[in-house]
Amino acid sequence: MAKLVVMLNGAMVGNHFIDKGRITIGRRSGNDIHLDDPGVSKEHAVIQTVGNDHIFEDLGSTNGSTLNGSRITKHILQNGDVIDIGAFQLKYANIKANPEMDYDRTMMIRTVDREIGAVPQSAGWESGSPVTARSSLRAGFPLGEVRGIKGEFAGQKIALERPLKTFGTAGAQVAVILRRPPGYFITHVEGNKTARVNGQAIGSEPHTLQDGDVIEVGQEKFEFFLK
Amino acid sequence: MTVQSRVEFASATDAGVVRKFNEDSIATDSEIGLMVLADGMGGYMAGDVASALAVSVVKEELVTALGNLAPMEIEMAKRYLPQTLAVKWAAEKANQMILRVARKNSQYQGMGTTLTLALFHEDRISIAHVGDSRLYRLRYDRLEQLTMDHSLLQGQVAAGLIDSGDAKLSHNRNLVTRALGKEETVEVDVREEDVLPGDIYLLCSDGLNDMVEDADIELALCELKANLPLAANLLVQMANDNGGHDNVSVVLARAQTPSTRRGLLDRLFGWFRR
Repeated sequence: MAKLVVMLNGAMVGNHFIDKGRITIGRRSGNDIHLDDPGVSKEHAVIQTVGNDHIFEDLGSTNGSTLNGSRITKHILQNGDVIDIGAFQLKYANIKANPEMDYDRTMMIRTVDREIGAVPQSAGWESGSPVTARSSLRAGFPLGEVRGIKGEFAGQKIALERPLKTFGTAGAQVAVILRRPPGYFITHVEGNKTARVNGQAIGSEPHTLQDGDVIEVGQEKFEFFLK
Repeated sequence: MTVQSRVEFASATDAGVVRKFNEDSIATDSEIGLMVLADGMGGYMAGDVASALAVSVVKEELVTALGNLAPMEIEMAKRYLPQTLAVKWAAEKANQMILRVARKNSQYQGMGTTLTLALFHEDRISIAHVGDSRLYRLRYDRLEQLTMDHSLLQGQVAAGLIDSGDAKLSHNRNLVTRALGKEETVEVDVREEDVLPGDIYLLCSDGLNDMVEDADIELALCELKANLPLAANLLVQMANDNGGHDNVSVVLARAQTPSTRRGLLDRLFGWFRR
């Protein structure tokens, strides 16, 4: 179960499980998490549970709440988040609130009245095995560009930052350059004849582009470079 | 004139990088102008049974229903075309069939599926939708989502609990609030839209829209609309390149230009009538 670890001056002073739909935080003693510090407002913030999410919301407190140095009003808590409230720090720990969780198998939940509220862990059908976050796969993508030799883009450089870009003349001859984790590829899109790389027709299969390759498609001629 | 001459379809489906089994099912039917996609879930590998059932029941029901469309004496008939009522009915039939099969076979207990389908007729499209499989439309190079996910996350965004920009931080992506095979009756969202020549329709499972940004989906459709089969395959490839955490399925449809849709005489009479 998710929990909040309350810290003061680097020492743990409390431990609260998030076991209900709404947890209140503030200086007044009736709050679920009572933080006795002049920098904390009486009703400072709440944490609401919606499905697998715990949403932190500052209730317009005088001194605010900060996450990693930036002021927040509303935030979906992520495992390891540390929120500063007055002299206190709240550390959110929930091994399920990781990016991996997002790709668990689709599950049906019953929301009889469509009201928000805690979803019991048993409501799901099943959960999948942990997988790696997608951001890690984006890192290390090589960046390429083409430089126009002849045609519309002669003398220009075009960075190939998006996942794909087409070149050529619509209806006559078009090829697409794909940016993929292993590198750049060129593939035929339309036209009776395929584009040429270093004078050779690329054919119908994807063709790997190498640094310095010369591409001819439609009225265009380009040189491909890896940065 | 058959629908075949009016709509061109292409599709691709893949288990993805992480999963061993593909529980998505897709189908297109040029004769009746149908595209349908179901994303199965639950049970011990029975998700594919539920999704395959949904797709085949919908197809059969619509082939029969479209053969004898008759005006109906019900309240809904005042608001919707007979084709739209037919797609809703077909989705409800699929729900009943999944429940029946699950009851008779204990190994299929608890199986369910999303279902999103679009039926092209004349210059209209009828959409039926349950769950979080989406239908998008590319019109004038702008991508628009035509279905609203039946998911907890979508509910949170609609209720103002979460900014749509923050939705990426949510852990409720995988929680659907409606599915076929869960209860005796299922609430099916239906919608009718005009079809314009050159429109491209994209039906996809969440394995696409969770892994590929809408902006990149739009880019792929804009750049590759000349070659729909290639566009479908490359969209699946993009999802896998970004991690491929889920099964990914893509069905594309293009409405043809008017010159191929209407005969010369038809068009001449069209002018006289104006």
